[in-house]
Amino acid sequence: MSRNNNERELQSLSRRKLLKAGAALGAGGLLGVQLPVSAALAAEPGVAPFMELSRLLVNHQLDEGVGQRMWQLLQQENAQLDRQVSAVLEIAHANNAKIVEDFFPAIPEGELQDLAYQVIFGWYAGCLNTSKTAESFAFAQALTFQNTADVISIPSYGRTGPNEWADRPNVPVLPLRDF
Amino acid sequence: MSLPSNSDVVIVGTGVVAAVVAEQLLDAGLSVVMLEAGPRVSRAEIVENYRNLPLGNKGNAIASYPSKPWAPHPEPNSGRPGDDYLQVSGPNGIGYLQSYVRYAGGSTWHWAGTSWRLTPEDMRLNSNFGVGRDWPFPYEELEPYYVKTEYKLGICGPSDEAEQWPQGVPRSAPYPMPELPFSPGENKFTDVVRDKLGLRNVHVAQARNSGTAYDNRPACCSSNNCVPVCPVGAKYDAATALGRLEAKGAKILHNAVVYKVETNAQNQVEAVNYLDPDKQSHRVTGKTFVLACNGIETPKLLLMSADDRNPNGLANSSDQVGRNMMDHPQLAYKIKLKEPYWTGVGPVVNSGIMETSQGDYRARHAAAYFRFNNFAQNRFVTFDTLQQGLVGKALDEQLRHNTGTSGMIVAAHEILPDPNNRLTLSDKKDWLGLPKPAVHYDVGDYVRRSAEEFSGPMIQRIAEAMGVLEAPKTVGFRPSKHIMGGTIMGTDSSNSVVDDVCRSHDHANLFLPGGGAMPSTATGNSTITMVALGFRAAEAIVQQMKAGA
Repeated sequence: MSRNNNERELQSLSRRKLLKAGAALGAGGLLGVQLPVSAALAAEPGVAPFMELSRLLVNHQLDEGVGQRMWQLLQQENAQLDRQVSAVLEIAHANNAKIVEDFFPAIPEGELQDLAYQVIFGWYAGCLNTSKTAESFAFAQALTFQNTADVISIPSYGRTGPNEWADRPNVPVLPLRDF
Repeated sequence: MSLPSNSDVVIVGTGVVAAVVAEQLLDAGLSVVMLEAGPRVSRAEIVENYRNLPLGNKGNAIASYPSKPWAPHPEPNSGRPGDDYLQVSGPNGIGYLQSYVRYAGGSTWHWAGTSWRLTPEDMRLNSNFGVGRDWPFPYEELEPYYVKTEYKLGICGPSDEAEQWPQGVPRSAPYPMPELPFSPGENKFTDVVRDKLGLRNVHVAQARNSGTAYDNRPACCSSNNCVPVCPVGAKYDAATALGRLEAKGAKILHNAVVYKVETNAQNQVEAVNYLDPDKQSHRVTGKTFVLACNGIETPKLLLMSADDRNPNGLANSSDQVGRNMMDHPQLAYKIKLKEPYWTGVGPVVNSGIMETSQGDYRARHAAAYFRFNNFAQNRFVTFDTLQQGLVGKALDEQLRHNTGTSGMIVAAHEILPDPNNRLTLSDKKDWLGLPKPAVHYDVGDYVRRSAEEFSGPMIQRIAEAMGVLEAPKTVGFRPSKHIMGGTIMGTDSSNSVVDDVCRSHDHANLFLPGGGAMPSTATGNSTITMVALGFRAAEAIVQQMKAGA
């Protein structure tokens, strides 16, 4: 099964080229497909603040299609959503936050912290709770899969060409790639 | 579709055994009609079902296959038509809560593709160890049918003899494709058990295209989703064969729930009767009949077909139909590792330690084989990690750490045929008014002794060698979903249901190929042996029909 070195080098070169091309194309920074964005939802006044908050709570490139779907579900179960989003955003702004570490400790325990955790949960899990009947609004885009997509497959999405996953090194858990 | 009348062969079922038998018969020039209880769906539909499941239900192999009201299959705790379809009882009842699907193509839709052969010793348990039953023929007679199976399904496996299973037993042909590469975790596991325990973790022979297209299906590209569905058909499933069978002349009826097999005055089978989703009954006549509709559904149908000549059910003069229900009782252990292994690249089951499954100890307790599953771990660790209250980089790091350092090791046991492990007809009825199957199940002392003296301690040694944070625990015996024994094979018609070609002792034109016939289970997955028996039965059917019997 082993190939000669030249062939391997060529393949690895072309893989690097492909990855560079993919990185240039993938404006969203996610591996795999992005969900379609709804123009109607984008015009909803609650969506833009929700996406702004999401980008502060989660240090990843976020898929707006996923955010719209999550916002719709959150809105159905939480009549105070818009008010709570504004309140957490205010805390972020007051702390000049760029990333979640800048302001998360300042969010008081209670409904605002609960909301912050729920939004983070949604982005990572692709659903809002652990139930077997929860509504799923993301799978491949869910950050738990994106977080390890450099090492292992996102189930049901092809990873490599035929048998091209051979001889990969056992990678360390740390350090992390930059998101 | 108009009903074909008096076909040469009527086959109930469209799973792997039915499909392989049908193709052999069609190739021999016989006319074939196949009846499937459930629907016929596209691969894309199943893949979308899977992708749309919430994370909390992604581990459920059946949830992507919602059963139809008229063709329920077991769907425990789902609120769906199959919710309490399979009734289980006995000391290990929950260990027999099987997964199978009543869809065209059958349960190979969601099998892992694992294709271990039996060994010569596995087929002579009684002669060698004084337990269980012997097969009525030796391994050498089965071997050519294994080769046919490996080429028909497209089974990849190692060409290095030292890596092949069974070890030291000649093969009459090589595997049609080379073995698939290991994931990083499997490479590390293989090194660790070799260096610390002297055990050999070998490549699984598996029905999956390795490095090349085969059978008009593409090569595996590491989607890591063999269970519940291969998104591209690189894994063999019988649904991939149905179009080819139709091109060869097979008539396939779906949503046709066979509920009665009919005999004539000579006690030969004359027709099967089925219900459609409008609850209308139809009759299909034929010359020879094959029931290959799953190890639970086949004995159920035989029992349901009782008539004046066969008061205990068809093929049941021995009273063995529905008895000796078997599986590979498995003990699964979640492990937390000190260092990352990373499973989740390549097929979901891709290697195993088989050499532990042989030995004189089988006179005292059951054999077991051990494996390190290769599922991506995200779905098992995400919720717990999210509930730790971490955010930002700390959350990413912890999630990544937990994904890389989690895993599952499994001990899969053989079990002996026990007539008390029995399938009967429940007094509870399904949507069509047909009886639900009920199974009483006890893994027995032979298996329990193995867990206490052999497999349990071995799991702890393996876990220790891998470097775990704490000794792993198991929730107890669970099914491997390898249904065997309900129409057991033997030479003596007083204690077996079918003969050595899976022909019913009681009805010369009724064949029951598949897992139900297997007199011993060994430890490895049963599909390849079921299909080999299907090839053997098809040969006998052709011979018998050409002779005008």
